[in-house]
Amino acid sequence: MKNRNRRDFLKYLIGTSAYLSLGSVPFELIAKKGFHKLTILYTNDVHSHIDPFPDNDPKFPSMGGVVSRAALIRRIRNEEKNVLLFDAGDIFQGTPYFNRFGGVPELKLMSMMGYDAATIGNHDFDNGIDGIVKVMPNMNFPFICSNYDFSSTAMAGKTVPYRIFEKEGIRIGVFGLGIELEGLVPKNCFGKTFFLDPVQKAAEMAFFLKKEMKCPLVICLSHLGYFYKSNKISDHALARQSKNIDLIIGGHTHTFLDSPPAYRNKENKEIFVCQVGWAGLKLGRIDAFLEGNLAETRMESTIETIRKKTSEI
Amino acid sequence: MNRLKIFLLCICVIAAACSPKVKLKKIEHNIFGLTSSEPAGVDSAAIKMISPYKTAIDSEMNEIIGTSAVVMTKGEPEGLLGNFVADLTLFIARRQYRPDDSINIDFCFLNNGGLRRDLPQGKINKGIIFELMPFENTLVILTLSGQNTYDLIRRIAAMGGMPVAGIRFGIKDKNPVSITLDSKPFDLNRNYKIVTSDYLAEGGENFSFLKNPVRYETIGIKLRDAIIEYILMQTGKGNELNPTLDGRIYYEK
Repeated sequence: MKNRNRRDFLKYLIGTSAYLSLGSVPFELIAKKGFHKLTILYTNDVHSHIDPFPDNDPKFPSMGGVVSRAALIRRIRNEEKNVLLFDAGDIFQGTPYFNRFGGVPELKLMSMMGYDAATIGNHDFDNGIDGIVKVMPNMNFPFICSNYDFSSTAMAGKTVPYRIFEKEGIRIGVFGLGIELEGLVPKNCFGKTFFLDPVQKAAEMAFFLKKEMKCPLVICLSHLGYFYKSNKISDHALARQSKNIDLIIGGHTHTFLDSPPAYRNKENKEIFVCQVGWAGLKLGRIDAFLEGNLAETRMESTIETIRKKTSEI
Repeated sequence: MNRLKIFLLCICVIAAACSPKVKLKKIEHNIFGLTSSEPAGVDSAAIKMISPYKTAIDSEMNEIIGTSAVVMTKGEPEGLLGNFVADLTLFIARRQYRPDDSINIDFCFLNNGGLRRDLPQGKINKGIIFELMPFENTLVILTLSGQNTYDLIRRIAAMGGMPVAGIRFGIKDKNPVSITLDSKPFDLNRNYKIVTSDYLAEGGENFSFLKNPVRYETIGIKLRDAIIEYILMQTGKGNELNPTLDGRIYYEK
C-alpha cells in the first residue's frame, strides 16, 4: 500500500517530462554536499544492426540504428556528468555488415559512441578466435571476460577480467561473464578457450571488487541469458546465488526487460537484472545516486526505444 | 513514434557496518510507464563513419530477389518461416545431391534458433536473407540408423517442434506419434538420410548424438545460398513465396 501511494505521488511529480530524473530524488539529498549521480547506459545483443529496421518491418518498423543511438547517447552525455556505457555481448553477427567486414564497423562505431567496456557473447566467436583478434585494433574499449580462459589462444592477454572505473572519486567495479561455449559455438571457432564456472567466478570477482577494492557499485556484464526452464545457469539464477553484485547487465536471450526485476541475493540484499532485447532497438539507462560517504544509494531505470528520425538517411 | 520510458526507482541504503565496509540495507522501487513521441535524433559523425560501409553493403544487398505473399514468422509446433526454409532446403539439397547408392534424402530438419529474423510481406532483398541466415552454415547429409533417427525425432517432439520437411508426426506427452515419411510409416530397422546444417550435425544446440552418423556427406552449398537460389528460382517462374501450415507437426489430442 505504501508503495502504491508513493508510486502515484511520484507519477504526478514526474508527469510526462522525459528527463526529470532528478525530480524523483528528494531535494535534501541533492542539496547535500558530496552527492553524486552516475548514469549507466547499456545495450546487449546488437548483432551488427548498424542500420535501423526497415519501415515495412513486421515487428520493429523504423526502429534501432546506430545513428539514432549515437544521437541519444550524445544527448545524455550533454545532460549528465558521469556517464558509463556498456554492452553485454553478441556485438557481431546478424547483418551483412558482419559478413562483409568482420566486425570492423561495429567496433569503430562503439568506440566513437564512447563505450567503456563490453563482454564477449557466443556469436562474437563466429569468425573464430582469430576473427576477433583481427578486428580488435578497431576498438578503444576493453573486452571484460572473467570466466573465459583465453591463455592458450591468440586472445591471450587481450581481454581483462575486470575493470574499475572512477567517476568523481566513486569507484565502479565491472566484471564479465560468458556463456558455456560447448554445444553452442562450433569447436573450431572457440578452440582452446576454457569456460570457467560463472557462479564461482562471479563470487570471486564481486568479493574482490566490493570488499577489497571498495567499489560501492559492482556491475556484472553477463552473456549467460536471463532465464531458462532447465537448470542452466542464467542471470535469474545467478542473481539469487550472488553476493556483492548490485546490477547485472545481461544478454543472450534477447529478453526485453522493460523494468529491471529486483532479486534478493544470498544475503537477502536487492540486486537488479537488466536486458534490453536485441538489435540495438533500445538503450537501457540506470541512474545511481550516491552520497559522498556512500551511506545511501538510489537507483532509477529508464529504457529508451531507439527510432530513426523521419529525415534520417 | 512512441518512446516507452519505464522508471524504476529504488533506494539502497548502504550503511557502514564495521567500517570501512559498506552494506546494502534497504531497497525500495517504483515503476512508471511514460510515452513520448520524440525520435532520438541524428548523429552526423555516425552517419559519416557508416557511409563507406553502407554504400558497399547496399549496392550488393538492396537487390530485390523476390516477393512474399505473406509475413513469415517462426512457430511451434510448425511455423510459416520454418516450413518455408525446411521445404526449400530439402528441395535444393535433393537436387544437388548425387548419392552413390541412389538413395535420396528422406527429410530435412533445422533449428528455429538459426532463423534470425522474420520475412516481411512484399519485396525481399538479398540483405533480408543475410539477416535471416547470417551464418556461413553449409548443408550436410547425414545417414542415421533407425534408432538414431528415432532419437532425433523424439528430441524434436520434446522441444515442441522444429523446422522440418519430408516428415510428419504428432506430439503426445512430448513424444512423437504416427510418424510418416513420404506417406510411409517410420521404420526403426532401416537407415535414414537427413539434410541439416553443419552446425547441428556437429553437435550445435546439444544435438551431440548426431556426431556419430553412419555417414557424413557434404554437398558444398551454404544454407543462405540455398535460400537465395530458391527465391530467385520462384521469381524466375513468376511465383510469389507463399508457404502454408500443413500440420506436418501437430499436437495429438
